[in-house]
This record gives sequence, C-alpha cells and structure tokens, in this order.
Amino acid sequence: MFDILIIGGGHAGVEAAWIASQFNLNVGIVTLPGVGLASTPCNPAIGGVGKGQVVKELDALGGLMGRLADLAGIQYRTLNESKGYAVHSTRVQVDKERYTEFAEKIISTETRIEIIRDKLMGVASENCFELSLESGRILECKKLIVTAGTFLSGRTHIGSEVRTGGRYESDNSSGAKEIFSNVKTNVKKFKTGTPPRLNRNTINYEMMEVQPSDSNTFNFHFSHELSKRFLKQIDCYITWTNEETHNLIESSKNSSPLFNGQIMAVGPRYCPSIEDKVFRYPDRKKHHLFIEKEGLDIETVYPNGLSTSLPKTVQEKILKTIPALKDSEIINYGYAVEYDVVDTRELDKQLEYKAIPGLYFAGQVNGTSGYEEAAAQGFVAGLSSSLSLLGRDKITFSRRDSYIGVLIEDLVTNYREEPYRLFTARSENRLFIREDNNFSRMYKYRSEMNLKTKLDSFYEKYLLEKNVLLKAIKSKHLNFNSEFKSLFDKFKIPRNDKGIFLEEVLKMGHVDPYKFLSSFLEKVGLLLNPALIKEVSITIKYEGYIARSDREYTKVEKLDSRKINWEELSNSHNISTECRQLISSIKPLTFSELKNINGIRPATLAFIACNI
Amino acid sequence: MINFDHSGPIIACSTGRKENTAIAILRISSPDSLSLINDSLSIDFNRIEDRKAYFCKIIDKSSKSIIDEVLLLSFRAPASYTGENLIELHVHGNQLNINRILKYFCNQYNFQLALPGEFSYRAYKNNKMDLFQLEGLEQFLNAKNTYALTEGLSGLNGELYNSYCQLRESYLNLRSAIELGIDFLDDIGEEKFDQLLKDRTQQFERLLFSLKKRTEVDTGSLFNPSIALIGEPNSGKSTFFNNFLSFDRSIVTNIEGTTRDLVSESIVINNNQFRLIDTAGIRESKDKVEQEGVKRSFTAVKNAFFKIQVINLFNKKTYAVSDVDLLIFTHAQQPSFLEKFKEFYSKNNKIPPFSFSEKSGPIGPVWTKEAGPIEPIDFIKSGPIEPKLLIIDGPIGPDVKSGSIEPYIKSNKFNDIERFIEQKFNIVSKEVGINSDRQKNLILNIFNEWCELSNNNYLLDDITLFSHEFNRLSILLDELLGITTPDNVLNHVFSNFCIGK
Repeated sequence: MFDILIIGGGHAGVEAAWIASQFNLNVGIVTLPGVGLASTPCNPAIGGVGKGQVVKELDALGGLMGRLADLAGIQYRTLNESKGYAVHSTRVQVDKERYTEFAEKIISTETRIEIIRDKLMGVASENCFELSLESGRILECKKLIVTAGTFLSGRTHIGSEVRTGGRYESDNSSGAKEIFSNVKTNVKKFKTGTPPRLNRNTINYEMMEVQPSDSNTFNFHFSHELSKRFLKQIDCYITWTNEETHNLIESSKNSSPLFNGQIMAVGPRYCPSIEDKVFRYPDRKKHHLFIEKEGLDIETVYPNGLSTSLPKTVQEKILKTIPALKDSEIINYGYAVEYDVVDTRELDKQLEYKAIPGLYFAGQVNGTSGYEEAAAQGFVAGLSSSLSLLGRDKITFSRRDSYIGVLIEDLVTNYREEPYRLFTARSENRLFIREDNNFSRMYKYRSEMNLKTKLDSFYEKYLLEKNVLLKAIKSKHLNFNSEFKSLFDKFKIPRNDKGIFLEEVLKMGHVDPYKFLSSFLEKVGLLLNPALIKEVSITIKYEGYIARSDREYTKVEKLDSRKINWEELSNSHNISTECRQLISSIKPLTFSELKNINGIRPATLAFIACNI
Repeated sequence: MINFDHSGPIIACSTGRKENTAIAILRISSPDSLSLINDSLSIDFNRIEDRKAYFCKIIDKSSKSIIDEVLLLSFRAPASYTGENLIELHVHGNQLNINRILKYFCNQYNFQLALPGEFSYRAYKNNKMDLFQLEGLEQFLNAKNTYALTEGLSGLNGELYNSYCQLRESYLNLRSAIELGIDFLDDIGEEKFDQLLKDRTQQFERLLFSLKKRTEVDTGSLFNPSIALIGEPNSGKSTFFNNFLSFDRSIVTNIEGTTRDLVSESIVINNNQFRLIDTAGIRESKDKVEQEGVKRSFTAVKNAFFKIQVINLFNKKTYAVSDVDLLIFTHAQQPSFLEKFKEFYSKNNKIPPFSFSEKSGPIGPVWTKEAGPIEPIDFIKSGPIEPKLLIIDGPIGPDVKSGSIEPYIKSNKFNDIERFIEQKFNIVSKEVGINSDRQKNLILNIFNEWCELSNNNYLLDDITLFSHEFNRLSILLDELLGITTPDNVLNHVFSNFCIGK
C-alpha cells in the first residue's frame, strides 16, 4: 500500500511526490506512458512576473522547480527591471528535453518514489483509495493527489479538427473521470492554447532584434552559484506582427474555433491567443513575438505570442505576413485545448477536497495556468497530505508573506470564471513578497516542516549573516570628508557637516540601494554574498513603507478576519438580491473573503461590516 | 461609546420639552409585547389595528382617575421605526402633563426614560437604518440651516453615499491602470498605458477635489450668502459697491478710511438674494470706530460666500492677494497702468498665468489668456481656486466727485461679475457641503495623502512603491464608505445626538 499516490507526473505531480518523499513516505506517480515527467508542452520557460517569486519560494521550501530550471536554463532574464525592486522577476527559458531528463533523473534516484507508467482505468474509495490500471494492476493508497492537468475530458482544436485528449496526440485517462462523478467541476470548461512550432533552420534571424541571455540574473536554486550557467546560453529574438497579419486574422474569424462557437470554454485573459489580441485590442497595430528555441539540440522554435487555434492553412498564411518568418516551416501546428476544471471552492487551504477526506487536487485541473502555479499547488498538496498522514499540524500559507498563500487563498475562496494566473497585483503586500527575501519569508514554514537537510543549514548561515549585516548598517555613521567622498559624489548624496547614517542613504529616493551598498561594502573590503546584500539593501529601503502599511493593515485585519455567517446573510433583507446570490454561491467565511468577491457592492460591505 | 445596555421598554417625549405646546408625542418602544399597558387604557389594546389612530383615555390603574385624553397609534415589530413594538401617544403638550405621563409609565411598568439617540440606536441595531442614514439623521435633526437640512436628507437618501461610491470606483479604476502597467505593459502597450493613467488620474482628482471642496463649503454662508468687497483703503471698493448696486449707498471720497464700518445692501442676482458688503479698508488706525470696523470687516470676509478684492495699483501699498474669488483692478485708464500691472503680476504667483492684449490702447475690461477670453474657471473642478481677474478702465462709475444720483446703467463688466457669482452659487449649492466631521476628516486625509503622493517624484520612479502607497488609500476610502468596524463611527454619531430620541 502506498502512503500517497499521485495521478499525473507534471509539475504539480513531481513537486508533490518530491516533498512527500522527504518525509520518508512511500509515494507513487501514475502517469501516462509516453509522456515525460515535468514536461513543458507549452512555453519552455520557468518564472516570469509574479511566478519567479513563486519559484523562489518553492526553492526556499525545498521544492524542485528552481533547481531544474537552473540546470536546464538556456536564457535568463530579469523582467520588470524598470518598475522597482519589489516586482523584479526572474524568467528562465529552459531546454525542454533536458528539463524532463533532469526531473526523471532526480525523481528516479529517490527510492521512495515509484513511477508507474500506465493508464488509469478506475478509482474506488472505501477505507483507502484503490486505483485499477490498464495493465490489470491494482494500487492502493491512503492519500490521493490528482494533478490531471488538461486531461479531464480534454479536447484539442486546430481549426475544425477536434480530437479527444489533453494534448495533441495524447489520450485522456478515461478512468480519471470516474472519481469525478462525486467531484464538482465548473460549469464551463476552460481553454488554453499554444502556438505552432517552427523549424529553427527556416527562420531569418537577421531581420529580428536580438535579446541575449542576461548573465547577471541570479539562479533560482539556493545551492547554485548565483550567476553560474549550466548549459550554453542562447539568444532569443524579437519580431512583430503587423497590419497585414491582423487583417488576415480578422478575415479568418469564421474559421476560428474561438470565435465561431466551436470552443465555448473560457480562456485566460492574461495569456491570450493572437486572435484574442487582435479582436480585443483593435487599435494596436502590432504585437510582440519572442522567437525562443525550445532547446539546444531541438529542431523546434517557440514563437511566443502567436498562440492560436486557427486552421492549419491560416497558421501558414499568418507566418507569411511576418518578414522574418515568411519562409518558416511549421513542425507542429498551434492548437487549443479545452478541459474540465474542479470547482476549487470545494477545496480547503490544504487543497483537500472537503467532502472526500484524503483526496487532493493540484495544478491546472484546479483551473490555474502556468507551470509555476501548478508546482506550487503540487507542493502544498504533497506537504499537506504528508503532514496529515504523519498526524502533524497543518501548515497554511498566508497571503501576507507568500505568493503561494495568495494563490491558494484566491483559489479556494472564489469561483473561477477563467484560468487563474498569478501576477504581482494579486498580492496586497507586494513590497514585502519579493524574490530577494525568499529565505526570510519562507523560514517559518520551512522550520515548521522540521526537515534537516542541506537547505536548513544554509538557512542558519544565511539568516545569521543577514542579521549581522542589518545591525551593522543600522549603526554605521559616515563622514562626508572620508574615503567615501567619491562614493557620495557618484550617488549624488547631498553634503552636510554632521555626516549621515548609512541607513539614511539607502532610504534616499534617488539612490539605488543595492548598487550603493554593494559599492560601499566593496570599498570597505567586505566580500559578502550579493544575494544577501540585495535583500538587506532593499529591505532597508522599503521597511518604513512596509511597517506603515502593516500598522494600517492590523486595523483592517481586525475587520477582515471577523467571521461572517453567510447563510444568515444570504437570507437578509437588507442585502440586494444580486449580492445575496453571490454570497450564497461563494459561501465566504470571513469578511476578507466576502470583500474579495467580484461584484459585491460597497453598500453591502458597509452593512455587513457594521453588523458583525 | 455611549452604552445603551438596557434592552427593555423605553419611553420618551419625542417633541420639544421646553415650552408648552398643543400636542406632544410620546413614544414607547419595547422588544416584548406592550399589551401590558392595556389596564391603563380605555380601549382594548389587543384589538386595535396597527397604524391607525385611536382616541382613548389614559387611566391611572390604581386610582382609576383619568390622566389624559390621547390619540394612540400602535406599530408592531418589525414594522416600526425601531423594529420593535412601538406605541405613539399624542398627548396634550403641557410640560407638566408630559412629565406626569412619563412618570406614570415609568413607575407603573418599569419603563425607562430613553437616553438621547436610543430610539435610533435600536433602529440601527435592528437593521432599520444603516450608519449613513444614522449620520444623516443626526445632521437632519441638528441642522441649523436649510442646506444642512438638505444635506441631512441626502445622507438619508444616499446622494452623498453615491458620490463616495463614485470616488471609490474611480480610485479602483486608477489602481487597475497602475497595476496593468506593472504586470501587463506588454499586452496593452506603453502609449495606451500612459493615456489610461492620465485619464484615470484626472478623473480621480476631479472627484476627489470636488469632494474636498464640499468639505470646505460653509453651509452657513449659503443660507444667507454674502459678497464681500475687500481691499486696501481707498482702492475703490465703495465706488464699485455703489455702481454695482446702481445707487450711492456708501460715501465715496478719495480720502483713505472713508468707509469706517460695514455697509451692506441686498442685491438680487438671477433670483437669488445676496448681501453685498462693503468692508472698511484694512489699515492700522487709532480711530476706535475704524478699528471696530476693521474687525468686523475681517469677520464678514471670513464668512462671505464670494470674495472680491479690489486693487488700485496706484496706492502706495503692498498688494497682498488674499484667498479670493475675483480680483478687480481699478484705475486702468492711467497711462502707466500696464507697467504697474506687469510688476505686480511678476510678484504674485497666486494669479493664473495670462498675457495682455494691447490691441485697443489702454487696457479695457479684458481678461485674455494667450488668445481669447480666459475660460471661466470651474470653481469646483479645478482644485485650488485661482482668482479671476477683472480690469476696469476709467473710473468705475460716475466721477467720484460729482456724486451723481442718476441710476447707473450696468455695463458688461458687471454682467461678467454677476455671471461669476451666479456660477459659483449654482455649483456650490448644487453640491452641498459635507457636515459630518468624520467624513470630512477622512476626505481631507485622502486629499492630503494624494497630494503628498503625486508630488513625490522619487515615488513615481519606482512605480511599485507608488502603487503600494496609493493602495493604502483604500483603507481610508473603505472607511468613508462605512466599510470599517462600527465602533468608531457609532461613537461619533451618538456623541452628537441631542434631540434625536
């Protein structure tokens, strides 16, 4: 009997299996034959705005994703560089073959994880869960984590061609459907899509803008040297669609499954297909396309921004309108996939299905998009089920200190109308939830897990150094006529007779705190971990702002954390019918959950605030 | 916080308690049935219908003597003001009689005399009204002039609440524009984002400034609006005053300090009556009468609805521009006026930028801004009011020495002044001021935070930091909408109750 079985070997499944194995539990991953572990069927990149933060969080918690991304990384970028340190986000393009290879290697060396490549035929649950496989094998487990991705009644579309399957040329696990006879799914299917893949040798690279890999961007994984690259780095290229492209797409509206009614499912507003973009932003004359190689030795190139489910002939014509791609050959056509998603309001913050104890859902099956969101959920489900098996206290991530907390709370408290993607605006505490301070933020969770690994010794050292450095900075006073004179001049620090505290300099509006502190420490001959310097300098810069909003937040939190009785409210005559319907469908338990319901009226909030 | 611990029956006289009146109304509210008072009534309380008036007698149940003949109305829970069982007794309004009846019920049935605000508190507790209606009610009951009354009513109706909702809505719109720029700049494009940010900032500022303006409106000044003329001694206020009124009301000489006290007259502009006040020129004086006049000038100016400053650039004084609605320059016919004016203009940054038209020789009554007349500044929407300018050529009216009593025919320049006054009055009276101190403070807080935020360039460099600071405003906005713990609001409201029993 397995302690935990995981259906699906994607990013969620792999993280769940990995963390559970760290607690010495027997884990099995049931995955379809012919599909590699942690594969990247869409964009071969890890990280991004809001998502890089999640990968960093996972890494600090002991997850796998950051490590895999570093090992397979072939192009690094720091996004949002002009928008303030808080939203700097790492994005790493990976070699998709090697990413899967590394995942398979790491998982297979972990003896407590068994990989079962078989098709699931059915699931029964009495005292434990019983999975029957196509080969006739029966598996039993105490906890079951479902990370079925897009394979729940998945259907792919290219033009009018419709096939069943969660990916092109992949079957569904029909057996997965059975256990869902008792599980509530959303009324509307979700939809996502992917662009055509092009032959790398048929593209005119000279006509495009080159974007080299950023050698300064730090790695995700804590034990990797900060800017070390494990694979050869490649360039990425930028080109644009044009009016001709847009005209063509407009005239093909009738053959687009998205617009002719063939796909009724809802797609992500935040990661739209090219046809969505053309119809949604008619006044834009061109859209970015990033031409990204899918690996060092792979023939295919991923034209990021060209996701589409238009018929094959139209896809070919679209490429002809773009000069750099006009001779390009399509290896795989773009397609859209629609699939069923679980109604996540039925899950708790451990991602356990409330009505069926021991059953967990994680990843795209919960209506999220993106590998990072999937991995984070897989980690949470793996961790929760392990702790529950071991009879230990739950760990619940808070939205005040992690994007994982934001993601989980958003998922389980709101009905999803469309695929959920993380971005920084989802957090109310963005100045604090940054990439650079992931260890400081995750420490309380990691120490609660009580695992003694290399990571935990790293924490001890890192946090100790951090506190020493913080203390030293706070007491450091500088004179203007000292060896720092040139430094002051360079950073345009206004002079005075009394000198200045180092802390004050770092807080100055026009000073880049990381650059100044780095130069300062170099000057005094202190060689420290740049990641540490980064965290400390940004922490000092933002701490006043964060402290103030924390103070104000406690006032709000007093109200936000109040329990509400949704049943009573949904019958109250003082609340509009519309709001009552929202309340009875979402069933909010606290005022904050109520406040986050889309479309709830201020007057309703005011009324409820005054009556709890 | 005032404690309304008692939850049993309460009684109070809801009408005036100072003088004898024909009729007074007593109310009794109780969560439990009030049929126990049946033995003090000449009718069967259990058989009467709700919301119907019954004539009956109140009879002392021990002595069987008649206490009063009254009209009785019953409102059973929950269809009553308080949401409880409520009885209204229309009794004879002699204060002695009222006291006797109150005392009788308190002694016989252990009713308690209601504390100020207690009936409304129960209404609030029983979801009969929300906090805003309560605040509005407080203003309504305590209103000292008609504008406060309308304001109180609009609080009850939700007009004010709607404008807060609008502000919050536009705040959220601006916030989402900023967020779009952080997370989705690639999708919407830089140009579109800049435009979005600009539009939504303007919209938010407009609503915020208009609300801020409403906090400044002194409702008293609207109740009896006055137009004050201020200026240095002998700048021509009285001349202007007389001409504006079309008759010689003030004594006009070219001696400083001629007007030593306030002179005021009624003037009707577009069916609204105003008081035009000619103030004593402000100067240091040993003359007791003049000193008193100056003092009264200050008060009048402070309370005035529309302030006009008259400036004679040929006076050897410094010409500080006060916080006024209109600037009038006299003696523009003098040859060196333009020079003087330019000098004055360069020293005074409070005046909106404009240039002269010199096309018609001596400057006429022009107000030109680059080309064409200055757009009338929208008093409310432009944020801090900049004074308008009016330059008057020649003597403003009949020659000062001739003391003509001929009715003066108003020229265009006066029409313009009237237009300004009317414009401000219309806007201000339409958008009635905000009387609740709590809401006033919140709006001012939001306003100040916003000013600080939008003036900090370094913050704008780090858009995430800017957004962080901007997001903090949501707490204040929520509070403005009443999305806050009720304790502090209730405290404020009930501490102000005086007659709202």
